[in-house]
Amino acid sequence: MSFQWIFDNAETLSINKRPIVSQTISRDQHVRSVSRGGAVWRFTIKMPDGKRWSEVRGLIEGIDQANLLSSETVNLGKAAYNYIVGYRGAAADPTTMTFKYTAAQAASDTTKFELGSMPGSAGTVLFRAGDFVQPTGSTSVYTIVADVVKGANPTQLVKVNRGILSTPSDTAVTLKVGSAVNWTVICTSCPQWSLIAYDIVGWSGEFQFQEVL
Amino acid sequence: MSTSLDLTSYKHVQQASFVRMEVPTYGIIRFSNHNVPFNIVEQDSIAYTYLPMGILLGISELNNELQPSASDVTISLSAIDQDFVAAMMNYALKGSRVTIRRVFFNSDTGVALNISGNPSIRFKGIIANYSFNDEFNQFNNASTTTVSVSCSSIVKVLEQKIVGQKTNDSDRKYFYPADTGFNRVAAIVTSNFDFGKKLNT
Repeated sequence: MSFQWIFDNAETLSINKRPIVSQTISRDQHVRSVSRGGAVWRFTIKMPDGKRWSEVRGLIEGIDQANLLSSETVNLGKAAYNYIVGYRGAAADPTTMTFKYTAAQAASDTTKFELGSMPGSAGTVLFRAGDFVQPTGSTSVYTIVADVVKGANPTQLVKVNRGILSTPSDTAVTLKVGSAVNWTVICTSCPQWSLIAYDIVGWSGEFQFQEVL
Repeated sequence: MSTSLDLTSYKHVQQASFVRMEVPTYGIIRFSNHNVPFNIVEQDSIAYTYLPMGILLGISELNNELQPSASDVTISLSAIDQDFVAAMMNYALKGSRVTIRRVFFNSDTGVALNISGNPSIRFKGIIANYSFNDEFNQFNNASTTTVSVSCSSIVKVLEQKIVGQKTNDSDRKYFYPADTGFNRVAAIVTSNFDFGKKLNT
């Protein structure tokens, strides 16, 4: 769980989940864009210098072991991170809501899932744009792209930030929401630690983690 | 090779490449750099699934010309998965037929555009060569392992096609298995004949 320690002690945290896009601009300034997919979660984390080696050497040993090779499950569930990933909707218990992604849905729009078991009355804001969701049993995390307000129907379609990676199924599963979501990541750039003073650890650069698909 | 494809009304689209390799003695491999499995109806009117195995790293630049061109294409594959590498090593890849398709998707919905010419075939050819590249930089501990598959287009294959028969025994036997007329070609091909000289007895 050494990666989790990095996430929990980040000095700066950058999240990039944008797809790769090619773009051309002609001489008459017409812009054309083509997405090449690749909308995966990428985290760039700077660790603060100054941790005491005698206290964190065990965790650093874990980082050295995992290195660029092993994947680990991490979350942003620390209470202090609630402002980053916390649920912003009005449902008292958002975990009762269900996620269903059918083959028919995959044929019409791969970025929408069917939200069911919606609590509250019509007009309740179930999700705010930017809320994090994860189907139970899936390793993929998505963000909601627009506010979701409960309508009159028992289910409604919800658009997320990228194509849904789950295998289409008629079975609904519950949702993990907000700080309950977790990512399976692998380190793609692992800075070197060094002792910059007596018992003080410094880092040569930033950690970069990428979602494992 | 592509049929007409009109994308002028789209300001932004999404695309992915789909590779089909027909490896003798192994079977047909279908993979893509799309994010989810995707079905493509091939020439036999059956839909086949192309898997996003994560091994397709890139496809070199393709030349589109009005005239049929004898261009080569290099497909870069990840050599991290050792099962895949072993499969590449164990089967006769050279000569395998390769088809590269490109599919355009609506970037808002992720659904393939329902327009004429989509999916389109970008390249058809055979594997002319392959190489395993294992690079390691000891100074920054960076290592990359890739398989590069070099494919020649069908046009180039046809240009190099041998018409007729070579004057050797194996070619002769291929066309006429019972004919022994070329049996001694290999023996006499390096012999010197002094025409007019008396035969040594």
